[in-house]
Amino acid sequence: MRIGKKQIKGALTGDLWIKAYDSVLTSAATTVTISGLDGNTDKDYRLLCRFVNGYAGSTEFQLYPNNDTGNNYDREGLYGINTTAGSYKNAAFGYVFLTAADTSLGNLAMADCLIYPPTGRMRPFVISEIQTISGTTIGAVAESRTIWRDTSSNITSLVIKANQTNGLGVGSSIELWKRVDKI
Amino acid sequence: MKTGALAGTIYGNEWQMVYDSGELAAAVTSLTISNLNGDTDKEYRIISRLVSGAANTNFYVRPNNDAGTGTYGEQWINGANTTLAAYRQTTGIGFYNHYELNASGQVNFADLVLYAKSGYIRSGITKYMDGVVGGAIVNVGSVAGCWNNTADNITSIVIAADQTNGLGIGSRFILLRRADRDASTIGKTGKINAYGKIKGCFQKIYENDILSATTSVTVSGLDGNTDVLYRAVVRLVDGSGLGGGTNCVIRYNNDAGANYFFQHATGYYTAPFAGSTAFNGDLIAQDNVTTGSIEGFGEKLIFAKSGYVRTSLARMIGEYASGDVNYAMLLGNVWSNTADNITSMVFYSGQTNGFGVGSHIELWAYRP
Repeated sequence: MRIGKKQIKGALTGDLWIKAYDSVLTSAATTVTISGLDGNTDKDYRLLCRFVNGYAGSTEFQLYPNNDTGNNYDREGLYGINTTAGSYKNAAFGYVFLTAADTSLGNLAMADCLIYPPTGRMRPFVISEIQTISGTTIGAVAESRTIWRDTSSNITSLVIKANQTNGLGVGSSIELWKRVDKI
Repeated sequence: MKTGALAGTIYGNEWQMVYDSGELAAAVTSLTISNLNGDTDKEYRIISRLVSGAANTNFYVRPNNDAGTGTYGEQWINGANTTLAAYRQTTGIGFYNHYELNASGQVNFADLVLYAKSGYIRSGITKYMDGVVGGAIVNVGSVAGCWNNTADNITSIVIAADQTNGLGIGSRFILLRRADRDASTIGKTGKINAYGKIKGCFQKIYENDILSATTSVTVSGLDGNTDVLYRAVVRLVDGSGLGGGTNCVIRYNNDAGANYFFQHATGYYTAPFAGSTAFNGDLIAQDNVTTGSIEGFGEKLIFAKSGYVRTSLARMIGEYASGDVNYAMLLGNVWSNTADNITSMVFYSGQTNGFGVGSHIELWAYRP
């Protein structure tokens, strides 16, 4: 059916990705909570973030499903920093590391995080990230992989936190996309 | 409202294609995607399958055709055979898209997500595989890019080669944008429940939660020449009981020959490495450890249309269990078959009952 230009004011469903949350911060914050989720129904999430460092120093941008702050995460990552290629492993980590911005207020960072949220198994987080964009210098590119050990709790919220007060600076953009099946 | 297939410009908070070059019938030096509005669209995704039309060519994505030296920055992580390397560039002349090594005719494949709205430096992440000749790949990696322009609305994107006719015959570029609902008054609708194809979008066409262990899963009824692109997602729960050696590969048209080749870049403890090998399928998830019950996970973008070798890019978690994630992987794969339309995909685990209970397979198709 040809429909020309259409504004879908109601829900669009049809086995595709739909934006479920979108926020561009107009004032700095330490935490942003995306609530009202149902990981068992939605089945796929993609979190796309562009962070503006709201702190005059190093800031980590972290993700906590259901605000679980326990040491229930494990991760492995691959990175490039200038001419150094490296990797890291963290067991019993305290959060999903999304990305980071170093040094200065206003430096940028970006994360593209795929989440497979249904219960029954540990939940995987697959992240492509950029750390510390300042002018034309990029601090690092990285591919990190994290699992959340929890197998039973339905994901009903995603909490994005900075590890510095008001580290989520003005202009930070946080989007969540979810799979929406036809009804 | 329940509908069948939909074709139109849909503002429904989805990603929708606004430009698809089709396969180029003649080589060109650059290609311009115009009538964009980065401040409204906010994000772009550019999927490119490039067939090099000239040797020793670099390829760039340039917002508003800005080729000014010093306005772009890049940071790379790259795997080439067994060499893993990193590079930084602070005087770039575009979002780096591809590098042609030394001969025309090489096939390259890349997926760029670009944050386009003005107000801040524009940033993008590209996963790429370069230098595909026959059944082999030279490079796979990820490059972080930035455009140090905070003010100008992106109204066009130029894909440029630095050699004449570098964008060779068969190249194809697809741009998707974020299509938000907005306040305009054009053609408002209520709820749309689409039962058919939605033009310009990726749609899920297959899903399987494995409830009884099995060795392979076949997805049939495909038409790779029509769909062009597929996205596959696999969670592999090793059900073999063998304690390792289970891999999930995708076999196109059930081709089980050693007609696949992958190049990876991998984080492993504090000793990253790269490697390449011929294989008997397109790897998407793995469990190679020798003990324990391990899982693997992967997402893969596949360029499926015939005429050239078929390429795919994957982000993978290789082998994980509580307390340990073994591998963080980027993987590029080539299937050397150029002729056959892909009509089926066999997800094969390599071991009897390798897909254990809890394994999950999804397949999505692009709707050109």
